Amino acid sequence: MASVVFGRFSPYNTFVHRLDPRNKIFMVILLMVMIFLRIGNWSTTYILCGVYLLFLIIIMLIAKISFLELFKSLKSMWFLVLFIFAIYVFLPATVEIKETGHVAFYINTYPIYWESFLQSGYIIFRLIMMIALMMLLTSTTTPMNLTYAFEWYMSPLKVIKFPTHEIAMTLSIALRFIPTLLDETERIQKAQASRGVDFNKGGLFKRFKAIVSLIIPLFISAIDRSEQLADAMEARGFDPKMKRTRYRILKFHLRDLISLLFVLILFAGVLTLFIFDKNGYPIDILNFFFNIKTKF
Amino acid sequence: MSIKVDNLFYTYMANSNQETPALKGVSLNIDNNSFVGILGATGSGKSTLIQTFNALLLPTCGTVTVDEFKVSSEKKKNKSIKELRKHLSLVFQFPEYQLFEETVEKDVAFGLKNFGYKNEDALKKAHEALLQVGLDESYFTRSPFDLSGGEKRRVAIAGIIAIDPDILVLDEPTAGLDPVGCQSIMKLVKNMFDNGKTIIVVTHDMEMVMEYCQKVFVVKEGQIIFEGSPNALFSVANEEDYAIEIPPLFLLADRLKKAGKNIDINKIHTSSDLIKELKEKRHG
Ligand SMILES: Nc1ncnc2c1ncn2[C@@H]1O[C@H](COP(=O)(O)OP(=O)(O)OP(=O)(O)O)[C@@H](O)[C@H]1O
Ligand SMILES: [Mg+2]
Repeated sequence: MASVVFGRFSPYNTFVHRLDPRNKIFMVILLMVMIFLRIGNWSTTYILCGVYLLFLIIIMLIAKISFLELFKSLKSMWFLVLFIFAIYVFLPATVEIKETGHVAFYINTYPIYWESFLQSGYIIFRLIMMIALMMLLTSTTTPMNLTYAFEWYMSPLKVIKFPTHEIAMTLSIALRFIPTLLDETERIQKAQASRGVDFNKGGLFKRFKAIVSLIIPLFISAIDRSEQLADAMEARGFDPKMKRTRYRILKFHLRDLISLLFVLILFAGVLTLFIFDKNGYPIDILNFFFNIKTKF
Repeated sequence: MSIKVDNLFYTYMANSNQETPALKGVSLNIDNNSFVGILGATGSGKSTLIQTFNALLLPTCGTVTVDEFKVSSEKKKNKSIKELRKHLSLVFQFPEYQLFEETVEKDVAFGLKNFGYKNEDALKKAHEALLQVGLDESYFTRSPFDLSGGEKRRVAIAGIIAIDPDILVLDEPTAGLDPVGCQSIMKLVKNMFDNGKTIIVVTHDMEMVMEYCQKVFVVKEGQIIFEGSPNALFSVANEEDYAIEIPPLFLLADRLKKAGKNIDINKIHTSSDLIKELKEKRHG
């Protein structure tokens, strides 16, 4: 249920899992930016997309992420994909496409352009890559490490007395309780189903009642739990104002340096291409390497 | 009503990298109007097993047959699940966490209304059930959240017995209750058994098993490893790895028998049974 975008942590110990979470977050951001830079004509863009996809597949293989899991989280997106597709293809094209585009066919006299298909395909690709990257990050990094990394990134804000530590603590507790609450939901759902509640059928009022019978016990148990947790933390002398030491200290290893350099070089390359492309030196990979000229 | 479980498999999170097989080929029969215990160490699969009985979990493979109702892996084939749940009710571990209405009587009536009872009939039946679990009129209009843990549990159990199922399945009904609370809940369950219901309890309380159960199934790692009367179980429990603590009463009776007393171990369920047996055999 929870693994729509945020994949569940998969307990392996691969190269990707061992990377410093701060480094991983940074690299994921770089990769996302890269994916959003559109370079050259359509054939070039799609070739680059292919390269990114290959790169992603290789990392996923290294990290032992199952492709099935990715497909599962993408499955819930099919409606959005269809929506994007319909909007781009059937709504009137942009001025740019109208001037330079190629008509695929006419519906009555309404032109549908090839470029609209390419555009929607590109947007959907970016969406899928974003989800895949997020999944890669969350399924190779424990929630704990993620919050440590966030806290580290927020640490400059400490100078303006921003409560970074408290926020990180709140975040990590919230993350910690997601699976617990999901289990609890399932349990209460089953208990109410035994009392004849049907969560999938019935009129509006019945459904409303069914949801109430789920939400109220859930809230009560969540409040109970938080009270207990607060007591337990207090009993162990937790004080949010105090400076705390860490059991686990994030370290930047050689493997982080290597992977970061690799991603940085990739990023620099793509950025250079992008700048050239935008400053009057259009990039066309097919033409440059293979001397093939395409319409797109 | 009777239950027939045939070669049942259940796997949590099937088709993912965290697959957990919880049941691995369970077959068993539970007769009409019997009092059955399901025992086993924590994590052996007891709760999983009973949740397949009323189709809260659909088996990965195999079937559960409850009279004319059949639960199998195919969703489409499992018709009339709601009807099944009316006849076979499940009381979860710590059922007090399922209360949500403003008043005790409304909460008990909630299940009845789901099964199609009119408001007044439901309230009437709810009051009967509440009296049965030992909560009098003064409780009817109180908020369930102001009650003690044991009282909440009674309200929750009343919510189930009000539905008047033919088979009542209880998952550790006495866990976390004081001895008096345990006794009163078990008396209630026994009473339902005497009225012709079939009772299935999951429990770690062996004294209770010895006193009430006619038959027990021991589950280990998703398989049934023992089936028979409680006293038959206790007499072999020492040699086998059943993760079961033999109740002192049984040990005493066993010692007495080994010391030469002529007593029939199979007849002993409570301490008064033992006394009776000793008296009879002395005079006889
Ligand atoms: N929701 C779930 N998701 C994944 N695995 C589960 C889930 N519920 C139970 N399991 C696993 O299935 C196995 C059987 O669990 P089950 O709850 O049936 O045990 P049990 O015999 O009832 O134990 P207990 O006496 O502690 O209640 C355990 O190994 C458990 O870890
Ligand atoms: Mg259990």
